Amino acid sequence: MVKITYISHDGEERVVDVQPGLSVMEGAKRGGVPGIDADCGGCCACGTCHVYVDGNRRDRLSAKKEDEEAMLDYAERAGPSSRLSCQIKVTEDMEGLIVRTPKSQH
Amino acid sequence: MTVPAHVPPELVVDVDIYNIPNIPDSDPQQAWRIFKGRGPLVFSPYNGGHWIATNSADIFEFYRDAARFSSRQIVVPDHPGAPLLPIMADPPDHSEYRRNVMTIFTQAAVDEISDDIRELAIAMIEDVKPNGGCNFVTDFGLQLPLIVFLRMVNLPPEDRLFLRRLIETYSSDPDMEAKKAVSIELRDYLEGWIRKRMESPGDDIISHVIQSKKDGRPYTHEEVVGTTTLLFHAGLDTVANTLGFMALHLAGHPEDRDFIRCNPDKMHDIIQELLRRCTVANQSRVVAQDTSHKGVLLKKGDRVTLPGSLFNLDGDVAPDPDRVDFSRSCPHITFGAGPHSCAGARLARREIAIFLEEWLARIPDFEVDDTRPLRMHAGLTNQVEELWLRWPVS
Repeated sequence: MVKITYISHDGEERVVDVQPGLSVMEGAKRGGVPGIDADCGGCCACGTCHVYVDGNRRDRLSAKKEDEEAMLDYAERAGPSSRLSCQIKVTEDMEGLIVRTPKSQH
Repeated sequence: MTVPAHVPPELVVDVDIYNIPNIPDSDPQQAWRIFKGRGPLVFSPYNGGHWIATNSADIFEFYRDAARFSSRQIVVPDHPGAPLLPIMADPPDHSEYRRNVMTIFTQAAVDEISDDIRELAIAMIEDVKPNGGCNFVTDFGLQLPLIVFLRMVNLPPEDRLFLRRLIETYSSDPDMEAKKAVSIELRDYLEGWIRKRMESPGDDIISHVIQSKKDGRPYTHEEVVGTTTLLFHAGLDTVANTLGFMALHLAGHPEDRDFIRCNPDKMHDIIQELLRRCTVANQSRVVAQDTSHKGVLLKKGDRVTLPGSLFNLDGDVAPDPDRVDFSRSCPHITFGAGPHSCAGARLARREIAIFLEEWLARIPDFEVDDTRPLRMHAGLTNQVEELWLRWPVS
């Protein structure tokens, strides 16, 4: 299991043990973390699982694909640290990853 | 009646999805349960014959599995006319079609028209308020999304009733001839506007679609027609019915009305739960290759209807699913799931929020007028056709 910390827009922290192979979005859903809607169910089609990734483990993440870049244009208040959490596959070396959820996904 | 040889007779349910029997004291979302209880997949012999998935987990999985369940057709029996885009395209073609449409519904674009929508909603509510009652469907539910959409496409607002009739026939009449007739009418109407916008492009959605590209080339005429037609279907029908079901729920639940007025900061969860309970769309898919699911053989070309109503009202998704509870956060597929989940969801949510805020601020107490007819039906699109409300006038 890999520990991932989800921090809400108003600072509430939740640490979830996520099974490698799942996505950061699925980890949030299974762990009951609010703030990630994932309307499309995790296929990079809706932009509602947007998170900001803290710098500490950002280099462990695979690069964004073209689809994700395009969908981030649609997501609310996206910035340089923005990712779609359905596109981040959790791997063992991501232990301690911190992601922040936006105030709203819509 | 069509039952192919590979369909076990015990899985055939003698119900037409366009004519699901009304059950007293139940609504169209609940009416879909008539298909439950005989296994994860049952077969309706009407509309060309098609499967219906009945379990929430299967419905969700099938919507997401575009490789096994193609969107080549999304309604039974068939969509007559140019394929609706992006929804009737499969990956990988689908991605670019979808991106071209999603740029219409960015945060900035929806923010830009929100004040306009609010002003319009307030004017419509103030208009009916002194009367102490209204037919919610024609006086508000239909008007708001239609006028908003017609403004976005920059078409004459007085065309809305004509367009509404076309869309209603399309989504609730199973007769292919009737569907074809309105599809031709709609196509003629849209083609007229497409020609005008090609001559003098503007800052509107039709002009945007005309300028769209696929694989570096401009859209073909069929692609422009297919995209604008889908935007019409999506913009003119779904929000109207969603607002109708929400108004019906609130009319019978004063405690929910109070909660919404007193908790503006919880609007996100409120809307999620209302969306879950007020499912509208129940689409279909086409089996892409022979496959077996939980012991049932699905043959290539078979149609499978995936009722959003059965997902959202499944006890596995929400305990005591018929109840509306704003303190919980249950998933829903009111906007679909998978690659085709609703691209206009942001605009829809905004319209719903504005309706809730402005209606309840002006007409906090209202009920169903039981001296007038309440007409609704389950189908491809669950519809509220007539809903009379009344309220005290000071």
